[in-house]
Amino acid sequence: MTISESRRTFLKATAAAATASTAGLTLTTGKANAQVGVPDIKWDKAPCRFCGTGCTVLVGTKDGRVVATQGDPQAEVNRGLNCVKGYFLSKIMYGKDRLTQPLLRMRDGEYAKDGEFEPVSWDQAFDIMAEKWKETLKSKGPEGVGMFGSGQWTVWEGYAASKLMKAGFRSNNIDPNARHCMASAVVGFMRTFGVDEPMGCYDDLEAADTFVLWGSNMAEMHPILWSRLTDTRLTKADCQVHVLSTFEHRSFELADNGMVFTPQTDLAILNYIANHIIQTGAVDEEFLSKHVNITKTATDIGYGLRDENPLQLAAANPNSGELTAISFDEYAESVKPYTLEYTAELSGVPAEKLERLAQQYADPDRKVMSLWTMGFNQHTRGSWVNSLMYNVHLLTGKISEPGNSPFSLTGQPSACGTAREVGTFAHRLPADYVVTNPEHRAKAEKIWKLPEGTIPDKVGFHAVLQNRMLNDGVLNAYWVQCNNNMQAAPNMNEEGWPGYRNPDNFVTVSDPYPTVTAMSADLILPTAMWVEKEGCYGNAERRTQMWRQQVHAPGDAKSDLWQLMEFSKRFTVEEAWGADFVATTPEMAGKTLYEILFNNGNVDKFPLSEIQHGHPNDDANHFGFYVQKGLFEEYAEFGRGHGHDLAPFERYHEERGLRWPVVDGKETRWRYREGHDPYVEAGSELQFYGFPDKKAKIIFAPYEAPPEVPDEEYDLWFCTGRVLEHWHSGSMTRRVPELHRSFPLAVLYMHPDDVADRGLRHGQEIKIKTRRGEVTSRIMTKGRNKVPRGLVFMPWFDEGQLTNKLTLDATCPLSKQTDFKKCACKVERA
Amino acid sequence: MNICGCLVHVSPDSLKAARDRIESVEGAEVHAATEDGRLVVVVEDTPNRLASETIMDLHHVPGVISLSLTYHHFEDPADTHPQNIASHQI
Repeated sequence: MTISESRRTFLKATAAAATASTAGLTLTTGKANAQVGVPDIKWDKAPCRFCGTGCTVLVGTKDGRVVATQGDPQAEVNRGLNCVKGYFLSKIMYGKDRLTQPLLRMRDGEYAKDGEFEPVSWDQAFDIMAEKWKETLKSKGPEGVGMFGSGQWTVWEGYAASKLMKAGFRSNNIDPNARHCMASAVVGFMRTFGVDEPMGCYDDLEAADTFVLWGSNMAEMHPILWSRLTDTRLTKADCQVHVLSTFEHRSFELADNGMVFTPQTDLAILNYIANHIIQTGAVDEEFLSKHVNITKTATDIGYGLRDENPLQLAAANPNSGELTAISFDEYAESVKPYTLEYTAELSGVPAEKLERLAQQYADPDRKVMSLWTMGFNQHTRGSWVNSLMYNVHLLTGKISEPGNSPFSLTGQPSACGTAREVGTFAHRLPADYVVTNPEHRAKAEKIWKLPEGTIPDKVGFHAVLQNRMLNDGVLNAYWVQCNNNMQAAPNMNEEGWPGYRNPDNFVTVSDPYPTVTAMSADLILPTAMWVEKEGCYGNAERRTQMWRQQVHAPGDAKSDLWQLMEFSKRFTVEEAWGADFVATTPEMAGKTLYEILFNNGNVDKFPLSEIQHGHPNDDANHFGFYVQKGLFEEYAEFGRGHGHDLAPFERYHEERGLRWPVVDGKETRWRYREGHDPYVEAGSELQFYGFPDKKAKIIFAPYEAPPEVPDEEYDLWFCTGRVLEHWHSGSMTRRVPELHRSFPLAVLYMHPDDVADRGLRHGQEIKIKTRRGEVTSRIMTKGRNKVPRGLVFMPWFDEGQLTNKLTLDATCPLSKQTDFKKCACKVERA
Repeated sequence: MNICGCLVHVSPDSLKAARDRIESVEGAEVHAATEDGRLVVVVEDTPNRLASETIMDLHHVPGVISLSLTYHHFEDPADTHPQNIASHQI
């Protein structure tokens, strides 16, 4: 049976009408409602599973299966549009190798580190896992256990995990994969403003006159925001787009001023712009005196490598983030060496292009939106470069108002919502509270109804340190959820792989698919994903969005939340805390972690009757209460009245998300600005209220070279990243046949002259070598990325070409985020 | 079978050339266009190429700045028999 021509014509007309109505165009056939076209499909909204943009898609379900998706015309973020990944979203749950039961490495019916994976029941899985965790707690204490989580966890999953680790196991050894993508942005925000996350929002994409991309390829990585930006560029008179990168990519096609710079010299370019603003008299002096303090940061701070690394030993102030107040004149002197001539020479960008860029920031009549992602954040001076960006906006007062917006984009759907706002980092608690502050710990203990002193005050192991500690046998019982860190973390050969396979360690990985990380583990737990559970994400513009469960997970797959809460039932406080601490809190004696963390009168407060009729909720039904609502409302207590206010739970199921702080039912689009932000006092115009004196900080930092630069032997810069068709490690997108077929294998983008110099040719199989390992790939001299001489670019989605065998685990010493963009490699015939 | 509705942004300078090029692609139809460079394009599977492959090709047409999908319908021939709607309510 084939689809009739008339039906095909009808479906095509429906597709055209839906597209036209999204674009505000009229077809001769009139405005049609796409949903009407297929009446046997049940539609509901959900945020996309992929990047940090936070598009809403309408998910079509038929016979218990997701069968169709469409852009949601009511969504403010994407206005009915979706990128190619978003469209094949409905297929991510249906990969052929979906995991449906726990798998344990076994030999002769027993767990064995060197055994083969065999199916086991959930009981058997948790038995062995709890046994290993208990052994470790007994011999090593809380420092021996750890968890690696995700900016793709739902808000309540991240919250439950953080609570389980910090209060349950009394260990701060929990960190999210957002450490690899957002940590430098966070440190930049905290040091400059004292509060995390952007002051502006996506509305700036229509309000700005000039857009500047710093180390961001929005055309491929944030296609929907790019289409909004493109729309503004094409429809607004005199709008300009400036693009900076270390190689030419698809975003350059729209650029009025495209600039390819030598890696790391973005530090110098930003100081040049500041110098230009000062030298041309463009400083907004009134703004500066009212709202800004000026400081400089400690320099020569090392590269976040192991302490015994020679580069660390040579640093004068390793890991120091110390700030010293300086005068405006001292600041002006500090940026003075960054002249146009010096900066053009250092960066390799022609002087006239740099000057044209600087003029956009200096001109008081131009509204400027700066956008950045991994080019800034994955940087051994990532925290510095984020603050240098704010310096430029603060000097001219171009901030916190429509169109004037330094904006840090995010890569994961809930890097903001879950990793940052919930505080699943080794040093954080919800709503910007930190474990090192006794008042913050006391606040958390009060909300959690736990004894004083439950939460440890010591910062736990961050992402890169976790792999080193596994390798060193310090961290022995380890749980990875909702990410593919073996493929994603740097220096897999020297740290990640030997860490997971260290015989002293028991590693559990929860995932829907047998990823590289899962296959490196000792126990694999099958996970329910996306609309197989009720969820909540927070996007890059502070927008919190929820979705309801649409379908059931296959087989025995369970949500991360179910896994965390069920595992907590396996421990008494005596086993988790030790007898000494329990002796100081006799009221807790004999209870399980589940009872004290989740049966605490908060989390179990809301009955099943409150669940939306007509939708499944497997987690709530299992535990016997509306667990998602209970966790959300307990979590929201941290932020209400503290600048991070969230609306009541139900509201999010009605809205296409709301941007926090949500006060008196109203969201906030521009923070710190009177008239927009309810936390700003009347008559003050603007207050950076993250600091007690309500002022932001200019933080001067100089140019400093990266740790590993090309030399005679390793003669090329090695830069890694993504492509449009695939999201991160490809564990979902490579299982969608359409996406896989369109970009099946990774390639190495290389300049034709560099290829010819080595006697190689386009398409040839080659070996890429660094001091840490080698990977086989093929040369690509054509296509979307045009790299300059001396630099090669490789996407990391392909598990058949493990890019991170090559990368160096050097981090920003302040944010601990890896620089995946710069190390040295050589390319040879395979 | 896949049928996709796409909104394509084209640089206004190359609108004519890009439109001609897109219309020459098998499996792609331009349903509407504006002078400022927005095209409504419907893409379907052909015997030789999946709609997704055609869409990725359209990204490479000179002058195309961005491409977004707004509607995606897919169904297998086996799915086209009449369904009992009541049985789909969860």
